Amino acid sequence: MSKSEKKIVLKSLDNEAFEVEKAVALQSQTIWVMCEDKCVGNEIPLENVTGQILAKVIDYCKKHAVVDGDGDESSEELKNWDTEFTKNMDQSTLFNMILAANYLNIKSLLNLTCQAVADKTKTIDEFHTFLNIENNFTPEEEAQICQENLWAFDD
Amino acid sequence: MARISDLPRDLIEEVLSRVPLTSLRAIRFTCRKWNDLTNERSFTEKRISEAAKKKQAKEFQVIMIMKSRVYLMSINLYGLETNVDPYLNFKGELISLNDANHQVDISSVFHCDGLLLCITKDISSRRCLMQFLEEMNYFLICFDFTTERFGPRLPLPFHAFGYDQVTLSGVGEEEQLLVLFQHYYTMRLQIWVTSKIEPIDVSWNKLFLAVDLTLLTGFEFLTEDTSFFIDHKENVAVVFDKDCEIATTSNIAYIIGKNGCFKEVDLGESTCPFLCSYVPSSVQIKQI
Repeated sequence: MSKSEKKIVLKSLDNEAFEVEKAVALQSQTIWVMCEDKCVGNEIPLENVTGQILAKVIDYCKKHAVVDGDGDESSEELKNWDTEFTKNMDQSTLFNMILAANYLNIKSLLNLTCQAVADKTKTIDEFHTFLNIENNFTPEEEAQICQENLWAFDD
Repeated sequence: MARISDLPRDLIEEVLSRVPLTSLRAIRFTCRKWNDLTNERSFTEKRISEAAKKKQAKEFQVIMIMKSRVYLMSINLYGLETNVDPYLNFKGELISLNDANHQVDISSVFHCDGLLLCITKDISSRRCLMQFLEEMNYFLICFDFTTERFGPRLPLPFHAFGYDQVTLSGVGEEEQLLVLFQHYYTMRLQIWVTSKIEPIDVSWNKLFLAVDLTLLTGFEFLTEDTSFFIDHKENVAVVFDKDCEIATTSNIAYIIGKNGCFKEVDLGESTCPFLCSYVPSSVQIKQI
């Protein structure tokens, strides 16, 4: 394989171009299928992902491409890296990451980002404020849900 | 700015299925859409598959009765081989919205298909025993729900007599029954696993564990209805019993390995714990 074949260019929605190793990009099943079908050249347009989010996705894929090759020893380190990676992301970025991971079909990243949102919200108030969700129940419906959820595990 | 409502339905389901069980009520009170979503079969199936993944990561959830309350516990035996202490953490308590003062006492709990049957103290005399203990003789009997009949007496893999201790457990893999046998005089402990279990036939050809308690605890497990479970991957059994020195109060989880490893985890003071495996179901029970 020549040097140019090992690299691939990913182009974001806002036309930002990222040159990455093919092994890094192929963690995305979507890109893997595109390359397999030979329906694209060396430049792949990703119309659903902005440059800001794509940069983060590539960071994730780079880290995982390197460590996966190293074997089991680094799995603990990788887990810590994943935690740090999502720790300081705001909700909006996390939702965009979930959408990107889903579109690019990167299972482990989808799992990581969904878990990160789930871990950040626990109470009804948190669901309403952090996630910007309106309570749209009528008093009758609320009474009905009280009845249905009379018994539940609570912290 | 992206909001959770920008996500398609299946991705919202992905997120919500990862929220801890103790927040399930909160999710349902959040909005109409989420209440509907969490009551669907596909949501429960996702939660079950998430629970299975967690179990592979060596952490799993069980429910336990202590002090007449039902608790959700998380158990992690991950560190056993590397000598890191295993842990059993309280994750939540079963609470009724109508019982703010925690006055309802629960005496026993049964689990089937994600549904919990809790027997409160005042009607506890109605519960039915599936393990028949006749004087000087132990055997199993199976109730077949399809024919609504009891089957014949089924054998146990050992001969047990009056003072020996025999305990059944259904905690663990599906379609498997475990039995713990403790010989009164020799203090030898055996745990057997079924290879086949049917209403008229049972085979016990797997001896999971056999240890001499004189070398480990130095005393016999005290409680008559000892709760226990086994972990195939870690090759350990976990038996819940009293502390031998302060027998009337403190509860201990004794972790006994096939390779001879032995550890104790203190669960604090209470009446004897009872354990049961649990993955929640979303089925709504119609009130009559």
